[in-house]
Amino acid sequence: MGSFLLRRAGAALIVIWLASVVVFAGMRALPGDPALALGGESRDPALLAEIRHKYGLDQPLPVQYAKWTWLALHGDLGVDSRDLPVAHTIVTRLPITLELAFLAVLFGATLGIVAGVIAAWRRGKASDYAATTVALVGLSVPHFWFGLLLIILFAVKLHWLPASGYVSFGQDPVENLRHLLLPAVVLGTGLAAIVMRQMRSAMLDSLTADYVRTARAKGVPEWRVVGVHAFRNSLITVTTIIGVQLGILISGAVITEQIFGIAGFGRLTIDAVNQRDYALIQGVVLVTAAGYVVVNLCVDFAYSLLNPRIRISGAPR
Amino acid sequence: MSYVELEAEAALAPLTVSPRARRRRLVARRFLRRPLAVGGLVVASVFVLVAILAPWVAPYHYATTDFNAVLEHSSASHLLGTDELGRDVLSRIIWGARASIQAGVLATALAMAIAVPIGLVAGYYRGWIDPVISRVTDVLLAFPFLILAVGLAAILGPSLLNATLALGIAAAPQILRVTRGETLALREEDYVRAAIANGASDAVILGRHIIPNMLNTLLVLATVTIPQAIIGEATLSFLGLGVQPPTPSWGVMLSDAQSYLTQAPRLAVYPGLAIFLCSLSFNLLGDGLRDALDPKTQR
Repeated sequence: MGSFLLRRAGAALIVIWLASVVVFAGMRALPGDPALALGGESRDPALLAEIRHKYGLDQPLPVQYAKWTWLALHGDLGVDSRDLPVAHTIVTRLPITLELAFLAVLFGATLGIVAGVIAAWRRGKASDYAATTVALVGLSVPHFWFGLLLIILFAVKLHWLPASGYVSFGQDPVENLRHLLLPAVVLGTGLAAIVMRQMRSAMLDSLTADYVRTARAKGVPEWRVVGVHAFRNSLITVTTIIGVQLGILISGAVITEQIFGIAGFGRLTIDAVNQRDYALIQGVVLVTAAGYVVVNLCVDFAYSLLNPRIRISGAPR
Repeated sequence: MSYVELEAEAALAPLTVSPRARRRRLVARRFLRRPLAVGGLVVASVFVLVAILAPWVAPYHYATTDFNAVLEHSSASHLLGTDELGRDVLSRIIWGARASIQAGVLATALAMAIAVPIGLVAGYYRGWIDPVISRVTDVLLAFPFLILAVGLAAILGPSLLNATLALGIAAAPQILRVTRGETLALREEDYVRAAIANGASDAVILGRHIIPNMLNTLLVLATVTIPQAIIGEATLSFLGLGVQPPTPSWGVMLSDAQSYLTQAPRLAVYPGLAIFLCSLSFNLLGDGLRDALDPKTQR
């Protein structure tokens, strides 16, 4: 198991390194001179030269890349166009998005697992059809439209929840949850639909397995057969699915934060792109890719812990 | 219905028909037996037709403004009402279908055109080229689909064409991975080994044995990539990175509607409904095709 995880971690490091090259090269491929963008209205050659020198833009690309990576490894992602440190901006915005993502996963996974178990257990009955149909709808609903519909219903018509904004948990826990409830539901719906479908099919597989028949033959009560024997084994598949979906959650957060006016990491991404703030885009995209790879690595770890077959043989898949 | 029964059913068809035509008829029959799949096909076809025929079916031009009829409710002259500039919402949704269908179909075609040849090469020749291609795919897959598309659209600049290019490139890694895997598996099939033993050239093996056996998978993959690209186009346009006003797009309409949620919430309802129905119909079509083409599925 150790060597398997080491190999996985090594591959993840290589992917992060290559991603940093892609990000760096992509930024340099952007049309326009970044010095001109940073210099604002000024076309003064002396000032532009000074800007190039300040941001190291007058040095050869490999040197720029080496410097950028070296500093990035030390937690320094440079300064943005307003001279604010990029790393600091990211660190202040990230917790907001992480809280949103956590609530979304909590909502999506709970709803998906419960609905999936019920649908599999009541296979072919009305509750199965209802859950399957709702999941299909949940898969096709675009985030931003669903968000707007919830705002219209709960904020504009019913005045139950705020339409936008964010209050930190430390400031006012109740307001914090009131502000994040709708965004978390929007972000978690797609996940709930996917988890429900996976849970249903995994449970259906488990419920026809030999050990379930044996348990039933031994006279184990039905709730224990479904709730313990079949449920435990189905969770393995679903854990992987949830992990894979976390990346999609990152994209979803971009849209969700835009609709609900939450100044989180996703909003930062869009603002950076719209303002053509190169240092900020570089930092944000690098952190996204690294986060995605690390999450996938954690899923591999969790998976090998849950599934003894991988742990013992050490062979993935 | 079990596989055996299906085989029996297929065997009962007139013997004068070629096996391939018989199989096609069988798949069609299996597809038509699924109401959701047929519904998906019908609705998706309607969207495609409406997009093509937009100038003829739309009651007004998308940019015609009427300042005497601003933010109006639905009426006989404006079935879905008007927006903040007095433009007919129904007409704008009909014209907006063009952007969505164009982006959905072209981005998928582009993704296929990039990914399938590269995936075939990686899976068929293996050697040093496979790990190189696979690592690059891993790196691209390290960026979530939409983040990749947003980044590419930012590099290329906002327009429908660039959004389509960005979505096509962003969708390619997933298709590449599937194509490579399928090729790897098909390469080990006995009939491919027999062809190699017979001295068939690589072109013949790929063209006659591997690609035809992959078409089903690719077809299903295409039908699920189209809705992804349709939602992607709407999202990019919503964020200001896609279609530019005054050209209508469902994403732009939703973005504009955000300012009028209290006065005219319906402006946010109709375009979203169009995106939803359009992507749902393609998803149902894809699900139905997969079930109909896969002999292992029950029912």
